[in-house]
Amino acid sequence: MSSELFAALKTGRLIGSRCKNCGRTHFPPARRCARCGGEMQLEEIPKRGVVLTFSEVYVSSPAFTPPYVVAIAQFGDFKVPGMAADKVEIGDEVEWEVADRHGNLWYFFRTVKHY
Amino acid sequence: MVLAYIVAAGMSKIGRREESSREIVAEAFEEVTTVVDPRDIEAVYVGVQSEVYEHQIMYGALVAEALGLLPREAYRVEACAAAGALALHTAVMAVKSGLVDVALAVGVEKMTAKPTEVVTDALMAASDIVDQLSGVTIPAHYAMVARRYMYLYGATEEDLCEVAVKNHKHALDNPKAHFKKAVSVEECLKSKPVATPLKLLDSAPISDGAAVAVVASERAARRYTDAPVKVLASTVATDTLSISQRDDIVWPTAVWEAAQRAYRQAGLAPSHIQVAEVHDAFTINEILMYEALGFAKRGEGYKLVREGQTYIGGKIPVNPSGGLKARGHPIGATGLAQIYELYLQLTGRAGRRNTGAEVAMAVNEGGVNSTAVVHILAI
Repeated sequence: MSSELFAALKTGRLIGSRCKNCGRTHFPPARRCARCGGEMQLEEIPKRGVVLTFSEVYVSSPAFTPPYVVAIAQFGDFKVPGMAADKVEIGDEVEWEVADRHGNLWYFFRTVKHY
Repeated sequence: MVLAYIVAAGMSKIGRREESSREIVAEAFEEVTTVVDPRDIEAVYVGVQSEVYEHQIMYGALVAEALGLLPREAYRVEACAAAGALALHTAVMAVKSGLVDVALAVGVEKMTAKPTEVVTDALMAASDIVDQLSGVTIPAHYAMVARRYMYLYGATEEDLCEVAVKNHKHALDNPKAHFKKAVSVEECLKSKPVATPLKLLDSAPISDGAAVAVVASERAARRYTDAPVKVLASTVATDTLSISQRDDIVWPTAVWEAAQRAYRQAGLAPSHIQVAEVHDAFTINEILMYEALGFAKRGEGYKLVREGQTYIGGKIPVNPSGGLKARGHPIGATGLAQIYELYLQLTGRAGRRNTGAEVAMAVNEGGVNSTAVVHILAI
């Protein structure tokens, strides 16, 4: 159901799914739970999350220009992989933002500044 | 229980090769023709990762043609870097089902003609669309596992490099290895970053190579040898393509699951395994394997390599061939290159690398531990 993710991005939302049976979440959204096979329902992913892990990438495919930072962040019950706009550390607060990438809408992470 | 047996195995020299995959497969196959009459082979299963490298699919028929095995049943199986062991699993199923008496498992990849960026892109096809669109390469996946593992359990970049040091040392005695060059922890720490914290010397190389194994029923095996290698277990398990969707990002559930099933199938426990070839595509993964296979407690795998217990001569020798890291990593061939090493080990043909082991385990995985294939072999 990546198609529903792309549709949600057009309205500035990031969505995943949650299993009606076991409560597990999935990103991108899926029709059935990967673990228990239960039906899933779409759910909006909270805006603010915390970095669980990250890497600075120096070797990539021709579609990307290293170096750049990728991370996995926890947004509520959802774990989401993505590219980060800035350097991050484990535990940093980030928000996802929708942006244009090569003519398509996609999302990336931006560090929340605490002043 | 009906068993399948490995009666012969072969492997090409691994490294940067000028030849095409059909020539490299033929080189590996020559080694088994001293034991098995090619006319006995009834089916061929070929593990290949990608059609990108040689702009080629149809590797089943291609290999049958190259080896003079037309018009046998022959087809490709694929699970990224687990393709080789998957070909063996398929051959074992064909033999155990009784459909054939002798099957050939083949793994091959010819990668080095393409630039690193193209190889990176071809491997990235093993990840979820959201990772692909976000630039999360396969090395970056392992890097994020490594970062989180170090954060949770206190392992260091030095510990990761110790895996590279060990495997390069083992490969010094492997005449077919890609690298026959010792490396130090310092050299590893100073090597160029690939995806932090992983560096060039934490990473398996891009290689060309092929490996084969002949699988036979008990009845057929007797024709070739009095001491065939028994396949005590052959299991496959799966996990999410994106590590982000796992309950625990660092835990290789598919490897653990496939190993648990393999121990049950064989009626054995981790303490019975005397030598192992495991999937060290990146150094962190060998450490995770120690834990998922039950050689170390969860979060303590790095201590095994710190204490030197996985060297040849240690408590549980791991990757005596040099592993993916130093023997080399021609993606589709790797699973059968592992089997080739264990065949040599169990039959006492590994020269200075001989461990004298009688029970061995191979763990081959694809993606980022998204497909795990485990074999337990014994003499």
